[in-house]
Amino acid sequence: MKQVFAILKDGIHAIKSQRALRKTVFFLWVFYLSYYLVNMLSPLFQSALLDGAVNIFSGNSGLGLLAGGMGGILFAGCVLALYQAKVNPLHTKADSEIGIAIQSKIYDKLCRIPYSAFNSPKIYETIGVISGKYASYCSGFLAGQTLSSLVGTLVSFVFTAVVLVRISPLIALIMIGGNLFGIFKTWLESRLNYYAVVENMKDRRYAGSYGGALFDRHTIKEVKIYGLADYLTGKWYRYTSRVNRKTVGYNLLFVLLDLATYFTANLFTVTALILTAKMILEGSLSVGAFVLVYSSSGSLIDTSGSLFGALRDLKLASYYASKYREFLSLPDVEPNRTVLEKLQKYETPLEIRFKNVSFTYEGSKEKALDGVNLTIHEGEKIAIVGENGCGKSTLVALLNRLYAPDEGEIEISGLPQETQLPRLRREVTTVFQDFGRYETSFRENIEMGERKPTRDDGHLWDCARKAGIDTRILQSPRGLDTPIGRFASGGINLSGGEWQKLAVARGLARSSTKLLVLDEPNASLDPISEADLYKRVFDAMAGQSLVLITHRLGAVKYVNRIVVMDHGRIIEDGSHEDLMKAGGKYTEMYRAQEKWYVT
Amino acid sequence: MFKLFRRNVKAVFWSLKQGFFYSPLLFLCYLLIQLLRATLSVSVTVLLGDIINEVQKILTTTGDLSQIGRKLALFGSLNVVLWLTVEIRWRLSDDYLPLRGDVGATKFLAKISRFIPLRKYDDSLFCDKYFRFQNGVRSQQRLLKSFERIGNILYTLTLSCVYLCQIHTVFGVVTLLFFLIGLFPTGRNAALQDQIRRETTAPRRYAAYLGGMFFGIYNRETRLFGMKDRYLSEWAATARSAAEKEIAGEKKIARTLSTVSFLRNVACPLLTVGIALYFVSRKWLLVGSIYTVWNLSRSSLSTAGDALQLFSDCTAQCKEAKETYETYRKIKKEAKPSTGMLPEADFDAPAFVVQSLAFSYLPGKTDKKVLADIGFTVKKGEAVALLGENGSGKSTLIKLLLGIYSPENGSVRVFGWEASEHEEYIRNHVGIVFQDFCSYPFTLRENVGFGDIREIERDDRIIDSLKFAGAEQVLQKAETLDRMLGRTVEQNGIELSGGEWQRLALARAYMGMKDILIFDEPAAKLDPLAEEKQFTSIIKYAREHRKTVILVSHRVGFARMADRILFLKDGKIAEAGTHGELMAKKGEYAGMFNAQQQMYAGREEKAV
Repeated sequence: MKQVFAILKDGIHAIKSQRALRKTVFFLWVFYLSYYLVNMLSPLFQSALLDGAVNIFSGNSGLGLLAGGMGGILFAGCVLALYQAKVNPLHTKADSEIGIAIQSKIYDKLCRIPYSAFNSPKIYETIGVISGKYASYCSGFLAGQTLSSLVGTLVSFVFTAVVLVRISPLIALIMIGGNLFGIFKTWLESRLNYYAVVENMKDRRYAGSYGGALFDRHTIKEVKIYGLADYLTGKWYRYTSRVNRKTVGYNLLFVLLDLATYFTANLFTVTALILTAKMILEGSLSVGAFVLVYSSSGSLIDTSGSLFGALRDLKLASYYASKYREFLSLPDVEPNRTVLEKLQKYETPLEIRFKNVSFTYEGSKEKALDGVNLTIHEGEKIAIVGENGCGKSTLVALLNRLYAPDEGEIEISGLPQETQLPRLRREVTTVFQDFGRYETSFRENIEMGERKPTRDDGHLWDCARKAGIDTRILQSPRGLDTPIGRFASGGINLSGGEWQKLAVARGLARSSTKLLVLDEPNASLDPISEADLYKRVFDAMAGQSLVLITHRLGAVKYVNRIVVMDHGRIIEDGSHEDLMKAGGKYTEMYRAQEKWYVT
Repeated sequence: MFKLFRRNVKAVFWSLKQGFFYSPLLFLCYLLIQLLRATLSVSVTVLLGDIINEVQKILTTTGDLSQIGRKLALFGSLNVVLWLTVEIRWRLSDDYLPLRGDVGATKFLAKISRFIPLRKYDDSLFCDKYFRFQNGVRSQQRLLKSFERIGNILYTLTLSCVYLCQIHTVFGVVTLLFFLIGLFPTGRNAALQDQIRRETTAPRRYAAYLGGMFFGIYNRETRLFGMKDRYLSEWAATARSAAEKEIAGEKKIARTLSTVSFLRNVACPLLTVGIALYFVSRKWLLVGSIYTVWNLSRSSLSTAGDALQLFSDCTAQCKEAKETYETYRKIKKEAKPSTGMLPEADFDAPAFVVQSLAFSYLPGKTDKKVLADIGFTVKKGEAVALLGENGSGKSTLIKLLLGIYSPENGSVRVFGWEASEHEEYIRNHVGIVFQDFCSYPFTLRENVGFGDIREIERDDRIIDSLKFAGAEQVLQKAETLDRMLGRTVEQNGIELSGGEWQRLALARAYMGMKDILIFDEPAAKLDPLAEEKQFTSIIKYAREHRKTVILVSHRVGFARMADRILFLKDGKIAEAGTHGELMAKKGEYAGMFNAQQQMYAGREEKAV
């Protein structure tokens, strides 16, 4: 129940923010409630009509009853027609607005929680459950029929009961008694449905992933070349049919329960109807009462059904709500926008100091970083090298405070890193190994580096030139505004190397950068482009710091300090000459590459 | 006009047939239940009216309470069956049929995907079309259900009219009239719904793209570049604009629905009940008939409302079916007919013979050829390095070697087979590592075994391949071959680094001891020591097993290991020969080699 109020609170919060939305939801409720009211009164109108007709037929005065019944039916019809004309557009409007409000909150939170949360599979499950779906639950509650039908059916259930009691308490008792089993059934069904959803999640995930590989544009190349279609289909089928079998099993049970429900309900209804007929014959009831009792039986079944349908929704919704709460209660770590906009230029030079830093990934036994001590002074050009898995990329992630160290501290110009996040976000720019490929335009891909979208084209062209992507942009039909990718017609496709250059251009775009981190910027570049890129980037960053992570050791000729990592530790640190003299790991790696270039 | 119609009919029939055969038995059950339900719902209404008449008869003159009791008992039992059919119908149409339908459709799609040549996937227009085709196939069963329901509505209508005519012909006629009036606004609504869908597709897709900016690697960059608020507002605006378009359309649709509702709930009772009352006052009818007449005509009108919805759905679905069918025909037509007999493969013949090969992505539309006048031969057991700048055509050449693309001019022969004509057969003899290889979130066994699916259960082969690729450490980490990799699917899966995934991609290529191995940047993610080991072991493997190797890499130094170097420039083979020959030539290759050498040499000078 607490969760239900939580959903209400979230929904109301979303509605409050907009006046127009408040009005929309108010009208929706007016329509929903009048709809239930009209449905509730319909049997009365019908019985009045019949009674009037019988009275006139038997020579008594029944014109009032007849006219009343007829008028009521027509009035109800008008209300329903109005309902049809208005409800859908109103509902779509409210649904979309509430959805946007809630989903925005989720997206917003996703960018503020500690990035390390994404290393745990738990977060994916939570996001999978709430993203998109929680919004629709909230709007279902307030703008949809979950709650209004609950209120409506509750009222009409009571109303029908009262009408029946007024006809005859005995009949009322029989009719309501007949629905008890139905109530039990819906309760049971709601529980089982909930389990069916939660229980099948894993199998669905497996099925989705095997089925996805069958049709995914990226995997299709290998799927076809290696002839994997049959295998993947088989796997997909195995998991899907497991889900299906469970669903079918539950459904069979539900059908049996339905049989029992309808049997008992109808047994009681027929008994009640026979009693009514007897009472009509005895003269204590009118013919209209017969229709009334029959209609009531239908509406009792309906209302108790939808009542518990609504309760079933509540049960699932409360599951979603608790996941949503759990997600929102994760800590915030990112500085917000107002802080970043108010930032003044920092006077002190940017100095980053790792003090005995250790870090272990969740679920891993080995330390990814193990007691790292490293200082990056302003203006330094550093290369970080080492074998695969030695902790280079983890170091970059910690430097950006995507992860917080388990042990030790990181200081930014002498202050603790966690207090210096705004400065970090402003002055450190990183081009990751797995950078983003934004299918928008050249302009947006580059200017994104800078926070404010209005920049002069000269600056963008300058960044493009330094990254070596300018000729490609010049050749494109609409220059900087040429669309890239699938979203716009005439979008062009870029090669891996071109995307990489574009990512570097993006990294260069921010004018407040004091430290640029390049994580393998050369992986898909040919040697000539690579050498050109280094020359221009190092020129551009002459006054600022630069950290370069690379496996191609030839590039170290541009830096003045080399840091060698191994198993999460820094094992060597110094200039190329020093390290070559020392004859350690670096020398071994350097020689391994160099010897292929001896002529 | 007639031609168009004929084509549509064909497409619709094809879709219906498909939809039916995804689950024939279940669908027949569904059909039966629907029929039963329609019959029962009419009968129950009639029976109740009859019972009321019976009650009235007793009131006035002679009636029989036992008669009422019997009828009520019948009524009760019919009601039980009716509700049960409603319930079963609901389960069938909402759970069982979609489940079976999805299985059938996916199997069909998996089958069809085999007919689609790989090059098609590079064509984004085709990909859009193919995506719509997939959706179309998945909704074939829906079309079938829509047709069934239209049939059902017509059946209910007929049945109701027959009953009503038995009471009095007037009622039958009036009901039919209302049904027909209710159908009038149909066409407009169908068009409107189609319009809404068309107008909202683009913004919805863009909104989904923007939503993606909050997940995975995009989440990281959105944070670091401070793009969150910009994306959020853009996303909300896009989603809102889609919703506004939808609302505008819905308003118009709602007006039509409201008209039908008015007919059903106001005009219809006014007319039918009025006439019935008149008949009752004339003592032609009993009171119970008012109930029957009103309810039957009302329910047939409600089916008119359903039919309205259905017709508009159906029109849209038929359009979809037409497109789906056309795509299907096109795919089938373009699919290469199985040649049956194969030319005898000559495994002592050169692995590749390429003669005056030319290729461009848009033949005829542009003067610039991606590849022009390429000719070379690769002997069996030879290791050839393919070098060139970014965009010089290396990847395209590989696609032609594999027969993924057909040459515009000239020919590619693999062991004597024409590559583009025997694509499927060639693949059995080629192991390949693409630059953008796949990392499957499945088991270790699957990640390696996919290289030769026939040997996926053979642990020894898989372990051998892992060894060739230097990926034993992954097995150590995973402990068993059946451990899941990655954590997106299985929470207990193990995470691998980029270098480890790359080694697995190599292991995949080694599976099945294929005759030809093609490596596109096989060491891009490896460190200097691992890189050297990787290249050395590739060459060693090739020499030991007499396998043909084609090696594409930007790490020029390692090209020396190859027997021969082909240097591509602007789509042509600029130079070919051994390292020594090309260095002596002081041409393109020497230029690139020197560029890389200088990075090392420059440093050495300083050091000395």
